[in-house]
Amino acid sequence: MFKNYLKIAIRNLSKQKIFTLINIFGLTIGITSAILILLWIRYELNYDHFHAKLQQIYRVVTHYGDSKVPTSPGPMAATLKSTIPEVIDATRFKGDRVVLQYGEKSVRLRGLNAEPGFFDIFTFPVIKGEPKVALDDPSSIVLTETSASRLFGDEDPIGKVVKMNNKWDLKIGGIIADAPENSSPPLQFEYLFPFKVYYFWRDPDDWMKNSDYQTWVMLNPESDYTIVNQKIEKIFRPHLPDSKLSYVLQPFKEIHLQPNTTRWDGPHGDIKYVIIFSVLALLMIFIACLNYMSLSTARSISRSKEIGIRKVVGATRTQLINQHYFESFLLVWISFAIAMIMVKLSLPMFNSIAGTKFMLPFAEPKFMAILFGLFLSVGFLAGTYPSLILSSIKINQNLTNSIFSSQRGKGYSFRKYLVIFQFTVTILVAISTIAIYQQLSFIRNKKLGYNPENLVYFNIGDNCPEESYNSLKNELLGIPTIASVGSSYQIPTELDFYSNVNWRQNEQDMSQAMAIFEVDENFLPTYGMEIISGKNFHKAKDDWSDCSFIINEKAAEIMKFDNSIGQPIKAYEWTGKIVGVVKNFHFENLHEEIKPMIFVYHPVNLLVTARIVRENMPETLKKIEQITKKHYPENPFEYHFFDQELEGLYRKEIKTSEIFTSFTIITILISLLGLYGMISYVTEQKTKEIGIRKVHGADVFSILLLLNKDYLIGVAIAFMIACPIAFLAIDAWLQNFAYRTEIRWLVFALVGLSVLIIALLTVSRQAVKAAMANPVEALKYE
Amino acid sequence: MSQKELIKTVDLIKTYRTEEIETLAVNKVNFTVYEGEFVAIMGPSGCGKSTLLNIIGMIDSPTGGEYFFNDIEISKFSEKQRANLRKHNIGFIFQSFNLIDELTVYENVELPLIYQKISATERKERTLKALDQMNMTHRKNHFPQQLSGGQQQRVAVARAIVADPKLILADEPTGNLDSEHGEEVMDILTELNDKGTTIVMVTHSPSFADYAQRVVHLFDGNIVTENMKEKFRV
Repeated sequence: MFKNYLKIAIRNLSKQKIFTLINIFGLTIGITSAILILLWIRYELNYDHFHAKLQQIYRVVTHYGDSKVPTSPGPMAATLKSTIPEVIDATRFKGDRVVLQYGEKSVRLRGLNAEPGFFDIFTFPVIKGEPKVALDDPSSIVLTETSASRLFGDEDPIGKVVKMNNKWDLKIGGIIADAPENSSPPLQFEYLFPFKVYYFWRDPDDWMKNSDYQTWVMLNPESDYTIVNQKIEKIFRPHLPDSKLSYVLQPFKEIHLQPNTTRWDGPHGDIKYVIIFSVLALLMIFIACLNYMSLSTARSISRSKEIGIRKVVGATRTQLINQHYFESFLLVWISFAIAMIMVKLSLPMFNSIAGTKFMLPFAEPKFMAILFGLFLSVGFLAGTYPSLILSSIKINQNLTNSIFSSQRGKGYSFRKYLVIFQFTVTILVAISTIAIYQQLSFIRNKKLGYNPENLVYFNIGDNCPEESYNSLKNELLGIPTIASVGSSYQIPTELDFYSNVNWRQNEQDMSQAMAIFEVDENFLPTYGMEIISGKNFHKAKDDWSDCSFIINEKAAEIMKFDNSIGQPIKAYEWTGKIVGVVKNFHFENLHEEIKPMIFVYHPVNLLVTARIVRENMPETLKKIEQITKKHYPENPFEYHFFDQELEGLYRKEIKTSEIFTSFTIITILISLLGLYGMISYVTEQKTKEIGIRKVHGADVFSILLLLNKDYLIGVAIAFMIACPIAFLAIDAWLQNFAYRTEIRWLVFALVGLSVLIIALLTVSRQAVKAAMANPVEALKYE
Repeated sequence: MSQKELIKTVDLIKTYRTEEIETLAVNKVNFTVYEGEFVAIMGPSGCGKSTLLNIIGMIDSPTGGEYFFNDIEISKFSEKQRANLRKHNIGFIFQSFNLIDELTVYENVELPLIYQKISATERKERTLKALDQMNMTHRKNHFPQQLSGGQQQRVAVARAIVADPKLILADEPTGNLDSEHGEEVMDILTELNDKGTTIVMVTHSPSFADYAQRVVHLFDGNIVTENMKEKFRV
C-alpha cells in the first residue's frame, strides 16, 4: 500500500508541476522563515539563562513616583539578607570604568566593583585563578577572558601586575568566562574589582549616602517575591523615614523582555516583539499551508476521477484519507529538507541583519523536538482539509459527471474564504510594515532640541586638574576645524544620575526627583542647546557651596516659579541659584516623554565633546588624538561620534524592524504566490465556460469582468476587514512611543490599491489568454 | 440457470433534490437478477438506467425502498459497509474506462487486490492472469494514454475481473468503442458469463443488448418491459 501511495504521489507531483512548485516554494520559504524566527525567539527567551539560579534572582529597583532606577542604598543587600527569611543571599555592586595598563599596552574597560558573594548568585565559569578570593582583596582584580587576552595576549595573566588609572598596582587574581552575547546589560562587564575599595572613600553602609549601588538578591525557590516586597517596605522605612522612595524586587528573568528601568539597562528586548514574531512565524506557516489547502482542493475536479475509481475498486475513506495525508507529508518533507538547506545558507545574511551569531543547534534535543513538532503540525495542517475534502467526493459524481458535477469542485466556498483571508493578511501586514517603518524614520529624523551631528567626544579620566583641561581645550580650539569644546560628566544619551531636587514654593518645601547633569560653561553652546531665559553658566570660582543651575522647561513647569531665574534650590548635595532655563531637549529615547532635568555647573568633567566641521575629518581626529595624548599620555585615546551613540538607542529597534520588514515581505510574497496559483487554476477551470460564452457572443471585456468580479469583491471585503485591525494594531504599538507619527489614510488606500492591482493583473494575465484564444480551443479542452 | 436471487430491489426509489425541483430518477423499481444471469438495461437518456446501476453497484444509495444483495438488505448500509461488500463482490466497467492515468496498466489492474489486502505474490499472479485473459500482458508497463480505446477497455475489464467478483456491472461498456472493439468487449463479457459471473449491463445499442439473456426497458424511472432473450428475439 505504502509503495502504491508513494508511486501515485510522486507521479501526481511531477505531473502537476506548477502546483508542486508553488507549494514546495511556499512551504519552503514559510518553513525557512519560521525556523529563522524560531532561532531569534529562542535567543530572546534565553537571555540570561546561563545563570543557573536565574529563576531565584531579583534586583532591587527604586521607585520615585513615575521614575524607576535599578540602584539602591548600600546597606540594602546586607539588611535584606539578615532580616527577610526568604532572602537566602544578597550582593551589591556598582559600575565603573577604568584604564588598565600592562607594559606598553593600555585598555579602557567597563566593569563592576563587586563583592565575593557575586559568584554565589551569578554563574560565571572560572577559567583560571580564584576570582572569589580576589574580590576580597583590594589589591587584586578579576578579568574576563576577552579583557585578559586584550591585555596579555597569549601570556598567562594570573599573578601579573597591572596599573589601574595610572595610579594603583593590582595583581590579576582570576579569569572568568565572558558573559554570553544574550546577557542583559547590567551583567555585561569586562572586569570585576573588589567592592571593598568603597570603604576607603565613601561609606557604603550609610543609608543616607550614595544610593547608587545595585542590590541583587536570591530568594528561596518557593518564595513569592510580592510578599518579600511588602517586607522590604517595612524594613527600610525606619532607616529612611522621610523618603518618598520605595524599593521593589524585579525578577531577573524579566529584565530583558519586560524592562521597567529601560534607560538604565540599555538596549533591551521586548516581549511584545517576541509575541509579534511568533504570530508572524505562525502566519507564514499558516499561509503556506493555506496555499496547499486551496490548491489541493481546487484540484479536486481533476483528481475526482482517480478518487472515484479507487472507491469503486474498494478503497475505504480511511485509506483515501491516508493516501492524501501521505502526499501532504511527502510534500512537507521535501519542503522541510530544502528549508534546512535554505536556513543554513541564509543564516549568515540573517545574522548580519539581526546582529546575531546564530547557528543551527542540531545537538539540542529541545530544538530538534520543536523541529519535529513543526514538521508534524505543518503536515497535518496542510493535509487534513484536502484529505477530508478529496476523500468525501461521491463516487457517482466522480465517474459519471452526474448532475452534481460542477466546474467549481469541492470546497469552493471554503476556497473563496481562503482567498479573502489571504488578501486580508496581505493588506494587514503591508500596512503594519509601512507604519512601523514610518514611525522609526520619524524618530530618527525628529528634532531633539540640540544638534547631535558632528560631535566627537572622548574621555580624559576622572580628577583632571582644571589648568590641564583649560590648556587642552585651548589647544583643541586652535584647530581650525573645531568650532567649540565643552565638557560634561556624561553625554545626553547616557544620563543616569537622578537625585532629589528641593525648593520652596508658597512657604512650602517641595521636592522632586530629577536628572542631574554636570557640565561646564561651554557644554550647552557646543551641543547647540537654546537658553530661553536667564543666561548660560560663566566661569565661576570653584565654590561648591554656591552652585549655579540651569533647569529645563519641564523642571520650570514643575517648580512653578513666577520667574525661575535667581531662585535658590538644592540638588543632591549642591545648593545654589537657577541662572537659566534651557529649552526642552530629548535626553532619553523617544519612547519616553521629556522629564525634568537640571544642569549643574562643574568646570572640569570626565568627557570632552568637540563640535567639528565635516571637512577633513580624519585630519581633525588625528590632531585631537595628538593633543590629548600629549596632555594625558597614560590615557588610552578612544573617540566616539555622538550621533552614532544616539542611533545606538534605537539600534535594537531598527534591527528588529529590519527583520520584521524582511519577513513581512516574504509573508506577502507567499500569500501572493498562493493567490497566483489559485487564480491560475480557477481560470484554467473556466476555459470551457469562456469558450461557450464566446461562441454565444461574449467579448473580451465581459469575460475579463466575469473572471475578475470575484476577486474585486474579495479584495474589497479583505480591505474592510484589514483596515480596522491594522489601525488598532498600529495604534497600540505607537502607544509605546511618547512621540509618534500619525497613521495616514493614504497608506491604507495605497496598500489596498496595490493589492487590487496585483490581483487584477494576475487574473487578467490568465483571463486575457483564455479570452483571446479561438473558442474552439476552449471547447476542445474538455 | 440457477434460481438463486443475487439482486432484488423492492419499490426502489431515488430522487435528486435541488433548491427548486425534485427529480425522480428511479421510481418504485422492482427488479431481480439471478445468479449467473446476463441482464441488459436499456432506455432513453435520463431514464434512470445509470442511476439504477449505481445503486445496484452500491456506489450510490437509494432514497427509498429495499435492496437485497445476496439476501442481505443493504439500503441502509453505511458507505463503509457498502465499500466492504462492494470490493469483494462487484467489478465495474465504465463507458469512459475510468483508468487512473498516473498508474500503469499493471498497477491499474492490481489496484482492487491492494485494497483487499492480498499478499504481493498472489497479487502478481492474479494480475498477470487477468491481463493474460484480456491479452494485455505485453502492454502491462504502459500508461492508459498510450493505449487505444479498445485496449483501455480491456484493461478496465481485467481490473473488473481480477478480484473474481460474483457480479460485473457494465455501464455502456461499448459506448466509446468502434463496432469491432465493441464486439470484442461483448465477447469477453459473454465468456465471463459462461464461466458463471453474473453481468448487468446498461446499453443503448439493441445489437449489444442482444448478447444478454434478458433485457429490461426503463422509461422515466420505471421498468416498462422485461423480455427474456428468446421472447425478445421472436
